[in-house]
Amino acid sequence: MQDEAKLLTQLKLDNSKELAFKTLVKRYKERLYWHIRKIVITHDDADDVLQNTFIKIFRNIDKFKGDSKLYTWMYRIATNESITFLNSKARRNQVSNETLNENALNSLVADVYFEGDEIQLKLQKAISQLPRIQQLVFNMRYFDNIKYKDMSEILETSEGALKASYHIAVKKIKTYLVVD
Amino acid sequence: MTLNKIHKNSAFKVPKVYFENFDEAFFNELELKNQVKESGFKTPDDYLNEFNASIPRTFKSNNSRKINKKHSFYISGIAAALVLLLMFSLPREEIQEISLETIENYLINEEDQSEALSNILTLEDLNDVSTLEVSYSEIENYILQNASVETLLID
Repeated sequence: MQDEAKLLTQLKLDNSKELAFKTLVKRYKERLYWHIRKIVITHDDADDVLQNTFIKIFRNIDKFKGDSKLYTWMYRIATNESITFLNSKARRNQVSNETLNENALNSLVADVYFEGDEIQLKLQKAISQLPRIQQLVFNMRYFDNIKYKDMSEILETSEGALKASYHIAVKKIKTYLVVD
Repeated sequence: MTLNKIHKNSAFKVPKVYFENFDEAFFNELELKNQVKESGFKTPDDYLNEFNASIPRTFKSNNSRKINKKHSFYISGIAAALVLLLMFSLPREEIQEISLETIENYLINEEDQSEALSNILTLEDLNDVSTLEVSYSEIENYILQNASVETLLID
């Protein structure tokens, strides 16, 4: 925590900003990448969004007031960037978000950067059937084990609502895997 | 004294039907995790080790530079004028391609057009553009003939 405060101070000073930013990237790139990847599905898109996320973090670090944890603030930016990216991509390709998602899932079978077996592919399909907020909550809790308290800061939703969303998501996915 | 009585006497409370729902939530998750734990995604070799976020050059050299609102307004106006100039000065077939794809993509993807333009344009260019005149009827005609109502509604 002290370390994070020190890093934050360095990020706000012109003479140490660049170096501190490199440290920040090194420390958080992996966690943010996997968070983004689960939203946008393909590696190339995740790479684009990760770059955009860090650029946005760099641009806005002066505006970060410390009301939340630095990492939850960055997750929030990554989440918003991913959703904005998907919306733009859908508009660019003139398809709905659902179609875009379906296309991404269909291409997973041939994706060299997806090594999932049949059940993992099914799991991704099941996740994609969920409403956006349940997808986010499920991915963050199930794969990354993010605390509800932190998730509440990232998604700006109450812990109770997030817990309910997660349990509903798990139930739906379980049913999907059994039936389908 | 039974366990139940001890807890009933304490001041602690749980949400309604908490214990009824607990089992279901717990075992659902456990069963799912027994079936599948990992997402299956992977990255190119060494991608994460080699990843470096590139800081835009304009931020490196001009950390403290700020574009004031008045300039930003002018630059945005010039950007719009340039887009219109391109639309009216190119042959019809090219207009359709540029207006529907390139310009839209540019506007969607580049959030800092004003900054990008300020880096590209010289003072001379800006003076030239300031004399550009496009009448309302020309703009109206263009929108009537080329813009998709659906796209405008979405926007």
